[in-house]
This record gives sequence, structure tokens and C-alpha cells, in this order.
Amino acid sequence: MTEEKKKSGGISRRDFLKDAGLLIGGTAIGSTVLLAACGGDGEAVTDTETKTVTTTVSGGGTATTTVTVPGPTVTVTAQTEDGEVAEAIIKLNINGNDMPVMVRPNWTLQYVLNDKLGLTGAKEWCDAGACGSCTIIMDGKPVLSCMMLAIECTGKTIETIEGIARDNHPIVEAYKNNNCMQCGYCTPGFVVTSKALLDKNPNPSEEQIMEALSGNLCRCATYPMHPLAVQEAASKLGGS
Amino acid sequence: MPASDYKFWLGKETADLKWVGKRGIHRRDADDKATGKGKYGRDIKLPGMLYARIMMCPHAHAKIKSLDTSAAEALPGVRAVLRYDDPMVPQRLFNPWEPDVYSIISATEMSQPVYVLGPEAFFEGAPVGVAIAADDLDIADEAMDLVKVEWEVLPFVIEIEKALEPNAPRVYEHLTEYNPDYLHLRPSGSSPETVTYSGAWEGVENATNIKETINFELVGTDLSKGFAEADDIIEFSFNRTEQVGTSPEILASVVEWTDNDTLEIWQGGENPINLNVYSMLLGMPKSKMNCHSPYAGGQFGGWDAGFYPPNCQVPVGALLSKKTNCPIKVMFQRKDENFAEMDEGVFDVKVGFKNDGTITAVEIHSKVMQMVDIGFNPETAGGGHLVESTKIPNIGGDSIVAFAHKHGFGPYRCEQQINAHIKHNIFSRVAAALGVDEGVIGTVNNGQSGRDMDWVSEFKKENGIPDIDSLGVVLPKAKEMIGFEGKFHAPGAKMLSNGKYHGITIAPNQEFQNGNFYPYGYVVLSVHDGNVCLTAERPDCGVDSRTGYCRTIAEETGMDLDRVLYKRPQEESKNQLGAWLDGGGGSVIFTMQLWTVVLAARTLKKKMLAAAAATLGVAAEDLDIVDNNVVFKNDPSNATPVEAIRSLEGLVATSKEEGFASLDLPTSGPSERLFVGRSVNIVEVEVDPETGGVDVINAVCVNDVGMPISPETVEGQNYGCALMGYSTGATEEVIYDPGTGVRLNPNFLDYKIFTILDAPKIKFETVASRMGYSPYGAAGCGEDNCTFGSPMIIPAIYNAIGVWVDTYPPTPERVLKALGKA
Amino acid sequence: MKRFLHVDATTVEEASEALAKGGAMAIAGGTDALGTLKDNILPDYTEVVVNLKTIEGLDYIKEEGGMLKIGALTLLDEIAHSDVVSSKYTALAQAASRTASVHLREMGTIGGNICQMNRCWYFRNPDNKFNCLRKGGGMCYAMMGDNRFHSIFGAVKACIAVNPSDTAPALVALNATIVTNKRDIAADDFWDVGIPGSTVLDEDEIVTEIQIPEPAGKSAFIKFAIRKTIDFPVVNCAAMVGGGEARICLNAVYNLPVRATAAEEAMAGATIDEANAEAAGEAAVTGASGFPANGSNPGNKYKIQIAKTLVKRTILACQ
Repeated sequence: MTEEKKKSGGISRRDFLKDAGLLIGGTAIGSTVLLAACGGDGEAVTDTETKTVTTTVSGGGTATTTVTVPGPTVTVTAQTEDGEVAEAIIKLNINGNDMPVMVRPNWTLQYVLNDKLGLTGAKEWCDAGACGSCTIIMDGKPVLSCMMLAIECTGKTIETIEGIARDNHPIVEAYKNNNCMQCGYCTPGFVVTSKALLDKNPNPSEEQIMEALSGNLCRCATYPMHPLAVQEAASKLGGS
Repeated sequence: MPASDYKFWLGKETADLKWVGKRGIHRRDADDKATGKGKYGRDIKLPGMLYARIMMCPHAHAKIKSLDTSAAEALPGVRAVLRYDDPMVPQRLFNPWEPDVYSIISATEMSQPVYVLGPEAFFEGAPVGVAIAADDLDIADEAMDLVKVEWEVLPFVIEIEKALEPNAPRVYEHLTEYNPDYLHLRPSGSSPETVTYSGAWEGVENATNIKETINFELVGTDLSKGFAEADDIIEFSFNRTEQVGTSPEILASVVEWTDNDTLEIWQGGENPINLNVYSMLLGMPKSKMNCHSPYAGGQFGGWDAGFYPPNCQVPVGALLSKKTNCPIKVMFQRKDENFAEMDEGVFDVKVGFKNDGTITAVEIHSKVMQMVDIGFNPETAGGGHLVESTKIPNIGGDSIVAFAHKHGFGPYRCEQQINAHIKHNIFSRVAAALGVDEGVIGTVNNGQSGRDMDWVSEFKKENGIPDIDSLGVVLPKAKEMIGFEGKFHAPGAKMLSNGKYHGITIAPNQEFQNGNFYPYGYVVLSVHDGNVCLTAERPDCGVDSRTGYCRTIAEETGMDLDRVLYKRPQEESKNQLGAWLDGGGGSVIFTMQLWTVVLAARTLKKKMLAAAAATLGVAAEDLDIVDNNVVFKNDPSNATPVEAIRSLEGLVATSKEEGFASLDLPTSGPSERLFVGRSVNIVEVEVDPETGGVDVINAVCVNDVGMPISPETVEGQNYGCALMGYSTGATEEVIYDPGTGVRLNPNFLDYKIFTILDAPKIKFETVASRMGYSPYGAAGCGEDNCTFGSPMIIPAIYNAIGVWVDTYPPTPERVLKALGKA
Repeated sequence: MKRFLHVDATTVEEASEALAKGGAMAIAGGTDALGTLKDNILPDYTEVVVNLKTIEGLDYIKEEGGMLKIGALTLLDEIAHSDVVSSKYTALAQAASRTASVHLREMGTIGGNICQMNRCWYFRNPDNKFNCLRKGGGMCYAMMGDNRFHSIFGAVKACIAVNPSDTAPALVALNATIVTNKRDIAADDFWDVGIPGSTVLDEDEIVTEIQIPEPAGKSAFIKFAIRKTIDFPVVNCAAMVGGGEARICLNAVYNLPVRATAAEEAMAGATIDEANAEAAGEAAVTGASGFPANGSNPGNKYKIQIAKTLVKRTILACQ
């Protein structure tokens, strides 16, 4: 991971935590102001790179987008004299794209996905790690985005329901074919978890599917249909 | 109603239906929901939108002594602080039991007293005192932390029986005396010809915190005669502790003021279009409100305009939006949300029966917590289902509904849980006393309003309703599916090789049915580009009603399903004054609203044929629409595509153009509805006698839903309801600290809903007798699997271990206590 | 979550230094740490979160020098699925596989699981509504309130919150050593009633490795919870019986994991059979009292019945 930390003198932990006015809302403007306040030796975020991102679009074709992103994975924009980070611009690798976003340390990945990046598929339900609705795939593992800090997710490969749907993964069609949804609020979490399972185990048994989905709650109780969908997707994947 | 009218609504013969009841059609919401594209209330984001939080009271009952919001106001990023003492805020409690409020809002529209933003809270977690709008949620939360409050902590009471004691702390001091005019409301949906309600509970003068009290008797009831005729009499008591609906989506409402002081509302509920409540709370006409309905994340009856505190979100947001000139999103947190109880109660039952299982008399005394909706359960003290689907001639009792310092009535997958608990516990105990299964008791007592099945059969014939012995179909089918004969045994008689006891219970019940409904809602159908467009705002809670409505329109008009489109209304019609389909989005409401849609579809088809006839120069009677073509009836090969006939373009039909043929549906009994469809739910459990652990292992449901409009959706509703019922019955319980009235488990770690591993294997089958009252003979579906799934757990445990657990849910400590091991 | 500052530690020393400054909380998998921060349960909110996941080289399972060594940052899921752990140190694999939910096991680490704070719904009630003993307050609210999931072996410093870890009793039964940046601590001595912590660790002390000697006999772990997954235990039990030795440990029954020494004595050298196991189960709960039912509180005496059952069954599973 490339990490750029600015040691800037004079600002203590207390300054940040007891005088809330120092940070004004996680906006880029706020951070520039803050960097100046920190002594001004922090560089503005000019270190950018241009990347070409190729994505599969529905119908099987590809689309190419050019994006400009800050170079370093983490650009600290506010910190104490001891290097404790109060705000940073981080790059999150989501569905194959590097997405720069300003974060505070207390923001969960789920909050950043939903509220800062507009990726609303990872749903907040229990907000306690007990329901699976906010599941994303990080470095191949199905994990809960509500129980991880966004600032700790740099350098990881993140896959969300939006990416799985964009890539037309057969699990999505299988979920539709098997009526695995009622109110649908928890459905993306199930789809993501199922996709992670299929990545690891292309031919799961019913028992393995149920075990893999046992951290996903569904209040409408759509449970009986999920194993059918996962097995349908598995056979499609196996057949292609 | 003459039989011909029923046939008219029944429509085509089953074999001729092309879209209704057919399998293999995708839900129209499937893509939105499987891909995460679907937007729920929480996902709505408007340009320039601010985020708001409301303070939640940390005490079960408290008043604000002083409130210092200066530090919050000074926090950068805070855009408005709305205090309870702000002149913009209505300085009153809107109490639905006070006459001036009740004259505007019916009890089912607003079931709890509402402060838009008050100085006092009546339960822990109630919104109170202050709301803050900020640039983002983080800042709103931080500002809320900076608010300094000095509380006057007041006495509270959270248990039913203590709440009723003469000197209990009062919940609503405003209700200073018992006033039958508005406390003893006449129950809705009941006809006084067959059930009498008399006087009040005799202890009422001295009791405190009574919301409602009713004495009830089925007409003709003579309890002492009924008990005298019995061969045996049993008495039993049981409790149900509080459970909650627990909507997965944490409620959020977005509001914005637009042209001419119009309030735009986005709320993902089932009833947000019921704007009467917001109209009253904000003192503005509902014609100046537009409601948009994003998906509702599992609200099971609606968690919106009708319920407090959700219904304070919109008015608070509207006032903050006035202050800031920005759109506002008011958001709850999970800990704010995990309340809204249902069906907590203490029940005493006495049953007399003959040796063949015929029940001769039932006496019920119920004390239930405040959440039970006026007009539903209390009206029959919990005996509603006995009236609706048995021939038991003598049924009586009383019910008291208490207030307490607990959150109010909230969403429910079906409000009939208490009726189901009482009916199934009676059937199980009588069956156990006679050494038979509950199916026998259900069959012997099958009937309606004290009348037997011969009478019901005659009634159906007279009214043109298919005369099928529904229970006679579903009961043997369900028994066969689970292999009942090989599994049923005497209580406590079957220990398995894993050291656990096996138990089984069978619940014969009735499919839920609303009758006598007018065309509920208002839809506009129009022809564009050769497609038929259905325009109506319609909340979605998961029953996929939009696909269902489009199927029926295809069926009625002769268009293919892919040529029937669902459109959201345009600006002028996003409320009750425009095109809408509303009223709790569940399956019963869906079938009620089929009247509306079918009426409009039939009107549209007439207009299409008339326009086509004019163009083609023939009589409309000579034409029909088949497979998207206008065809000559006498020569179907003479077909013109609908899109090729320009005169059809732009045709409009609404559900209000033609008079409704007949609303006088066949009724019998107190409920204004004859419950003709039956369903059967069978559950198997395994009980570990050394730990008290209960596993629900296997289940079967067979439901006569009349006609499944979308079969796969009906199946989903049914097994989903059943599994939710088993979960609430087996493990779900809201737990309070007795010392403070604070909830101890307002989260999904400690409030335990079934996971996929806890859910039993379940098989479900639909029976389509077409005996329902809605078009095509459809009835509601699933509610009974939910309401009976819950009470079935303890009788199943009884069959396993031979002793009764006295309290739902039967958690390990209660099972071990029943076994004498704790 | 309220605001805090953040440090990525790249070495154990760096992490230790950051923690030494006070007001800090270490975070690994985060599944317990973020829960406490989200619910804002502590009287003094954490000022700095110190990320341990950025320390390299603490994620391994290996057999070395006649013992099993597990890096503190090893995920529970990896332990649950490790062949060597499953075959030889069975209780630990079983405990890891029954911890929390399948997702949380892909996030939570063994180090975090043994360091999690005690569980009590008063202590953990959101927004610090109950300023209880563990928070420096004057009373235990659970003692007078609803204690259906609390200690059956009495209180420590009048606190009856339980240690909810599933892996902890397995480590005790397997006679593990917990290695920190400062010292080696026997699993028997690792848990303590800190306030608000639950281990004997100093503020700047960090678990780096778990060491488990090759067990003399077979081991097993059994958990009783309301649901089949996600839940914390009502009671759990781990045992290692064989080679003339027996180590049996219950958890979720007291402030810390409880060695069932009377049961161990009963089983040491004894045949594993139904009668001996049942007697050991009875012995294990000698001295357990629990709280009686009182009003809406059902009390927790039922946990005694469950505890003795689990001891019996866990012993039998060591056959």
C-alpha cells in the first residue's frame, strides 16, 4: 500500500475531538482549510493518475471509461501531531474501479458506499453485524460492510452487488427465476454471499449453501428458495 | 347478491385463464431487488438534501425540564435545530381517543397518540424534544450529542396486570376518566345482529390505563347451558410476551416543499398515501401533499403514517425543511426502530366439549397490551376465529386492553395472532384430552357463526359460490404430505435416537378474507403505443402486487402481459386524490384492490372495442381482443393488431367511471365475511429434555387461497408467513429492564429471528377453490400461516414432552421449568 | 458512530506505543470493537482506534516444536477449516466454527475473540444508559433486573456479566499459552475482570500468538445457544479428556471461563462413559447457584441444567 502521511505540528488529539468545529463535514473544502490550519505543509491533492477502466456492460460488450484518481491510496488531510488521522482521502477499489473518497475514521464502509458513493445495494438493517444485508466481497471473502471502517479498506478489492449485477453473474438471473425475494431489502446481501460461495465452491451442496447463507437474515423468510437459486446458478456456471 | 353477480366477478373458467394463476412469470420487481437497484425510503437522495435526527428519550417516562441546544446550534454543518417549544411545532398531543381527533382520524389510521415533537415521552426510545438537520448524518449525530437535557423522570409501568392496578402510574393523564363514548368504540367490521357487545368490564371504575374493554357474546350464547351439555370441561391459561414486527428497513422519510407550498413526501411504507394523518399533524390540506412510494423494506402491515413514532418523521422533516429551504431526510437508527409491539397478553380460557370433540361452550378472558388495534382482537376477546370458522354455539368472554409505558401498536404480518393463539390452544387441549389430533377437532367443529357445514353449503349454493368442502380437501392433503399418520403419537411418547422428543401439531384454520369492499383506491388505465398502461401510486411491501394487477389487466383486456405496463402517476395524481392503490400492501389488500383494477380494465376494454368498432365500421359486440389483436368474433383470423388501430391510442379508463355492480357480498356472522376457504399448517419439533432447546424441524402448509393470481408469489407469501410465525412463536421476545422500563434487546443479536438454519424444511401447496370474494375468487393468502405458525409451537412441544409450557415464546428456561428442571 | 482518530500500526511496537497513550482501542476484525463504539456503551468514548490488521506476519497456523502456533490475526474461519486444528486440536476448530456467523468468522480474529469484552445487556445497552459497576458506577443492574443470560457462579466485584467467547474455553481445555508483546500467559490466567476490559492485558499489551501443546487426548466443544448461528452462547463447554488427563472448561456462566475442576478430577483417568460423564456434569455445577425467577425476570437457574448437560456431552464427545 502506498501511504502518504503528513506530520503536521501543533494540532493535538484534543483539538480534533473536543472542538468539533475543526472538521466541517468531510468535504474537500473543509479539508483544505484544515490542512492550512495544520501548518500548511500538507500538499494539496494534485498527485493524480489517469486510468482506463474497462467494464462489461449488459449484453456482453465492454465499455471504457477514463477516470482521474489521486495517486496514493491514502492521502491524509487532517491529523494530529502524533500522526493520528482525523480525515483522509482514500482510494477504494470497488468493482474494478478506483474510487477516491474523503472519509473520516468513524465512517463504516457501508455508510461510505451508501451515502458517499451512491452504491445503495449494501443495505443497513441491523447495523450490528447480525443480519448480512450489507454483505460485500472483500478480497474474495463475503464480509459485512457495516462492521468495517472504510479507512481500513484501502488496498483491498471490493465487490458489491452493483458489480455482480453489472457483470451479469448467473446468480442474479437465478435469484429472479426462483422468486427469492419478497420485500427485497435483504436480497442483495444474499446474492452477494451466494456469489462469494460460488467463487469458492462451484458446486455446493444444499447443506453448504445453507451454511454459507446462515449469516443472512430474511424477515419475509424467503429461505427455502435460496438453495434452489444457488444450485441453478452453479449448474449454469458449470455448463459454460 | 344474486348468484350471477358473483359469477360476473369470478370471470373466466380456470381452464380459460391465460395470465391469472399461471406459473413461470417473473415478478416485475425481481430485477430491482436482485440487483440492488431498487430504491427504498432510506436510499432516496435529493440534490441539496440535509439529514435529520430526532432525539430519543432514554427513559420509559420523562419530561424535559430544561433543554440547551446552543452547542448543537454552533456546530459547523448544523443547518437547523427544531425544538419542541418552537412556535412552528404544534403544542399538543394528538390523541386518537379524544373526540376532536377521532372525528378526523379513524383509529385504524392512527393507532397511538402522536406528538410532532413533544416535551414528554411515554416510552423509552420515543422521539422527544429536539430534531436537528445537518449537512450529513455524522454531523447531525454529533450535534445531538451536544444537546444538554435535564429530565424529570416520571413513574412508569410496563406490565399489563400492574398497569391495570388502581394506583398504577398513568400513561396518558389526558384520559382522566373512563369515557365510553370514545374508549369503548364500536368495533369495526362487526355486525351487531350476530354478536352482542355489552357494558364494560366490571372492575373498570377502579382500574387505571384502560384503553378499551368489551364484553362479548355470540348471539344465542348460553354459557351455562353449553358447559352443562359438555362431557368434559378444561380450563387453562397462557401468556404471550411482547414480540415485534421488526422491519428490516430502518425507516427514513424524505420531504421537500415545492411549488405553491406543496409537500412532496418519499416514504417507503405500506400506507404512506394515507395522508390524513400528516394533514392533521401539519394542519394543511392533503391536496397539497404528494406522496411517492419507494419500496418498503419488510414492514408487514406498514410502518408509516398510521404508527407512532414513524408518523412524526414527515411533520418534523417538513418543519425542518421550512426552516432550511432544503429537502430533508429524517432517519431513525436501528435502536430507535426495534419497537412496535404486538399481541402481548394474558389469557384465561374455559372449554366444554363432548366426547366426539364437539365443543359446546368457550369462555375467554383476555388482558392484552395497548398495541392491539381497536376493532380487531378485543371485539371477541380473542374468540374471533371460533366465530368465523366453527359451529361452536356458545362463545363469550371479555377483553381488556391496557396502556403501558411501552411503545405502541406497530406493524404485524397479521393482526389476528391473538385469535389464532386462542383457537389453536383450545383445539390442541381438547384434542389432547380426547387422544386425537387437532384435525379431528377442526373437522367436527367446522362451520361458521355457530352454524354447521350443511348451513354453509346451502348458503354457498344460494349465492353462486362454488361449494367445495375446503377443509375436506386441504386437511388430507397436508396430512399426506407430511406423513402424519406415521408421525402422530400420544404426548411424550416418542423419543428419537438423538435423545430428543418428537412433537407434532396440526392447525386447521381459515384463509383470511375481506368482504364487502368497495373499489378501493383509484386507477387510471390508458392505451399508449399499443400498450395498456396502469397508472397508480402503489406501495410495495413484497407481495409483488404490480405484477398481479398487470396480470389481471392482461386477462381482462386480451393484451399480452408484456404489453401491460405499470406507470407511476405524474405530478397531479400522487395522493389519495389522484391515482393510488393503498391500504397496507399485503395480500388481502391486494385482493381487495383487484376490484378496482378489474373494474377499470373492463371499462377500458369496452372503450377499446367501441373505438375499434367505429374505425372498422362494425358493431362492438362483434369484436373481441385476443393476443394483442382486435379480432372478429365470428372469424378470429380476421385480426388487426391493437397498435395498428390509431383510434385506440390515448384511450383512458378509470376505476370510477362505471357504477360498481354490487357490493352486497354474501355474508354471515359477525365479521361481515364468510370464511369459506380453509388451510392447514402442520409443524414438527424436536425438544431436548436436558437443555430445553427446541428445534422446529419440519412443516407443511396447504392453503385454499381461492385463486393464486401469481402462484410463485403466493407460495412465497405462504411459506414466508409460516416461517415468520414459527420464529415469533419459538424465539422472539422483547425484553425490558423491570427497574427502568428500558429495552434490553433492541437489536438483532439479542432479539432472535430465525436464520436459514433455524427454519424448518417446509413444503407448501396451494388449493384454488375460487371461493374467495375478490375477482377470480381470490382470497388473501399467508396470514393464517403466520398467525397460526406462532401459537403452534407450544402445542407441538406439548406433544413432544407431555407437559404444557405456559408462556410464549417457549425459550429453554420455560421448557425446563415445565419439565421441572429449572 | 461518534468521531475518533485512527492509526494504522505497522508493527506490534507501533501499536503498543499508540495504545500506551491512553484513550485508545485496538481493532482487528472489529466485530466487537465497532459494536461497542456504535452503541457508545462506555462512559469515556474512545479517542483513537489503533488498527492491528496492518501489522504483517501475525496470520498463520503452524505446528512447530511439538506445539500448535496460531498468529493472533488469524481469522476464525481459517482456524475452523484448518486440517491440523480440526484433527488434533478439535475443540478449538469446533469452537471457531460455532462462533458468531459465517460472515463474522471471515472477519473476526482469534486474538479479538479472546479479548472481547464481557456481555451483559445492561453493560452494552446503547448510549451508556446503565452506568454499571463495569463502568465504574455503583451497582450491577442485572443483579436486580433481568439476568436470564448472566452468571450462575456468582459475581466478581459484584458484576455478573459473562465472558461470551467460544474459543476461550477451548483454549483453556487445551491448556494454551497466550503470547503477548510482553509475556507468555497461561490460558488459565488470561481472563480477569478488568473494568471495562475482560483480560489481564495491560493497556498497551497486544496478543501476538496462541500456543497449544499437543493434547494428551481427544478434545471437543459444544455450544448451546438459542439459534443455530449468529448467537452468543447461553452456555458453552470445551473438554480434553485422555491420557489420564482431563481439562474441562465452561463459558458464558461467569465473568471468566470456568475450569470445572471437580469434573476434571472425576474424569482424570476414568473411562469415558455415560455414567462417568453424567457424574462429572453434576460435579461441574456444584457450587452453581444462579438467580431465581422474579416477576418478568425468569432468572437463570436453567443454565445450571444446561451447563451440566454440556459437560456430560462434551466429555462423551472426547471418546
